[in-house]
Amino acid sequence: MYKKILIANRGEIAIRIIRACKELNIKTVAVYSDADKGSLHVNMADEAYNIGGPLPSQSYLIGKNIIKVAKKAKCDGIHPGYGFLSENAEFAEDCIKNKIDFIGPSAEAIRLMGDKITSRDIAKSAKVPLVPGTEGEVSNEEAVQAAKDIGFPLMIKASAGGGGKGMRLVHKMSDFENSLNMAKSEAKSAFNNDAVFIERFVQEPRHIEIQILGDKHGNVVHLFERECSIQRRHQKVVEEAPSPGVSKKTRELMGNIAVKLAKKVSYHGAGTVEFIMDQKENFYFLEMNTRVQVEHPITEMITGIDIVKEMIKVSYGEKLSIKQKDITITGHAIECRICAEDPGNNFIPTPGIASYTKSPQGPGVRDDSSLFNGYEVTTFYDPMLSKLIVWGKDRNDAIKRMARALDEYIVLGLKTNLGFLNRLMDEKDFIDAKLDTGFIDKHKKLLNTPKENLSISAIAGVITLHSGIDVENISRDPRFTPWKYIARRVSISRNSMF
Amino acid sequence: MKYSLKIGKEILNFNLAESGEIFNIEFNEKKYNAELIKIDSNLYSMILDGQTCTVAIKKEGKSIEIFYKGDLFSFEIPSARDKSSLENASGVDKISAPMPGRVVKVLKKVGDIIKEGEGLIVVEAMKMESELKSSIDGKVSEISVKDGDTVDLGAHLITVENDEKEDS
Repeated sequence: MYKKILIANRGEIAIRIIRACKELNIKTVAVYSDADKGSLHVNMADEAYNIGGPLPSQSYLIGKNIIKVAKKAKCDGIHPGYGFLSENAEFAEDCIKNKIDFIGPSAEAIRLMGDKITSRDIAKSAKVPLVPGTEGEVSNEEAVQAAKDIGFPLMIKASAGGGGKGMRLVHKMSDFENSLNMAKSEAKSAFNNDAVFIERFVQEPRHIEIQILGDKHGNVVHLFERECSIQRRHQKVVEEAPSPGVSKKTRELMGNIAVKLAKKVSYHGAGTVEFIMDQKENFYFLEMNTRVQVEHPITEMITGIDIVKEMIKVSYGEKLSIKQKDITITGHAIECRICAEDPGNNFIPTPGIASYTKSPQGPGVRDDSSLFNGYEVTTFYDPMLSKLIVWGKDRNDAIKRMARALDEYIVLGLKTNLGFLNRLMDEKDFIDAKLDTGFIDKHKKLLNTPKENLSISAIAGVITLHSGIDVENISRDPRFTPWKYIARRVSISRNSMF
Repeated sequence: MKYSLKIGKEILNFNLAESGEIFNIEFNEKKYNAELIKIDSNLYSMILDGQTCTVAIKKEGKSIEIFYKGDLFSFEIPSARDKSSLENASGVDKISAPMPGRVVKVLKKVGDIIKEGEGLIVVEAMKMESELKSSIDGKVSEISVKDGDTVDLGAHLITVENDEKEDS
């Protein structure tokens, strides 16, 4: 087994990997930017080295420097985590050139699956379903025929497009030609290119993804699906496994397709094949992520497989410890990403210091967190503080447990999405699993804090104000005489605001 | 005892009486009995009419932060300016010292006609000068200080009254 692994990441995922290494008796090396000196991952690793400035481009993204540290510390493997260098084929290659294992897929697999166009081509050749649409741009006559073949509703998109310009959603044939002309003229004026293509519009889409694991001996298994339809700003915020919207038959089909796709690129390590699925379980390939996923713990909870440990073992050359037929689903797991952001204000990040924090405990609760009292959220990195994961015997059990755990979670000092997540667990449509990626937009009331919570907080606030005055002023101001104290008290009773 | 807390632009008013460990609080036309028990550095158990609420509390200067059920509420102890702007409805803007400091210059005299937003008095506190402005149209009716005076927090400085409102 590896002797020493460098973790080329920060935050909770670095901690997650350090934990796996410790359980495998592997020494760990952390790297950190100037902003992360006091971070938990630095403290938890056996060794730690500074790699530069606070901006990712000054530290966590400079592969050369990280490899230098790995060589100096005599590491035999580098785990990239997610984000940063995890899907950088060049970095994977450089690791190998320097005789250090890149714990992940081959550089070639990263390259092939990381590119939207080549991955689509590979998916097509592996007969993975793609969103029905035209192959590239079409003439007006071709467009009409294509629309008939694809069916409605459909989307007309500008080839050179972006930002919603030159895009038209069309519900019926009689509107089609008109919309086509409008999309074209919009595209012409926005991009000076009126080429368009046509695609089926997936209504109320759900985000479903399949976790796969492969070894270097050609074995690939899937660990079933996760549903990640609760999203804000096109980013996942709540994930669950298994998906309440996927039948046994679809699960098997999706799993087999994902395995087939992975085998096509001789995939080894952990990976995720992402699909978009409509409410009738028609699913289409989106992309493949060639790394460990943020939400991997929910799959670990329902399968009992430690994905990070498997990644390390297969990277070292071991065969997968599990066969497909041995992998089963037990119960249900949910993950909430606890983020420093303001749901009441478009989920904008809320940098600051988490001055006091407390994590939930008790049965079935796992908190993969980088928090501690005094933890600072900077603008340099993602505002995710922690991943709260629960397991329950079924979905309802898991939801109740998540609600209970969220209730125990305390983060003081900066705004978080805890309150929003709390209310989400009580939302009937969530409990009834009426999920799609537009869920949050359809349930805007979850973003607002209830009046009752404000009242209770205000009462706690006024007691603080009342009892805090004596204590603070006396202890903080040595010149505070009893006379002044009485004078202050009198002025307090006279002026209601002090 | 009367208290106010500001959240956003809203000012909340309370009446609080202490009886032993219990606080009797009137707020939003409702009466509450509350007790606050410290558990950890910032963690408190508030027993509110028999119901327990776990709250986390941070007090720093004029701000009080309360965490409850996943939401964070940032209250501020309202300044004299906040308070006086509340009295605008009655057509009176009573300006008092926002901080202990010194009066640099009184810009107006009694009887001057004032437009909303017009500067009335310049005060200095914490080495920073700031001009206090009228929040209403009206006439200066009272000035309690002169240039160079030292003032305590909340001391009355100058009052602008709106005649029209007074007549009605």
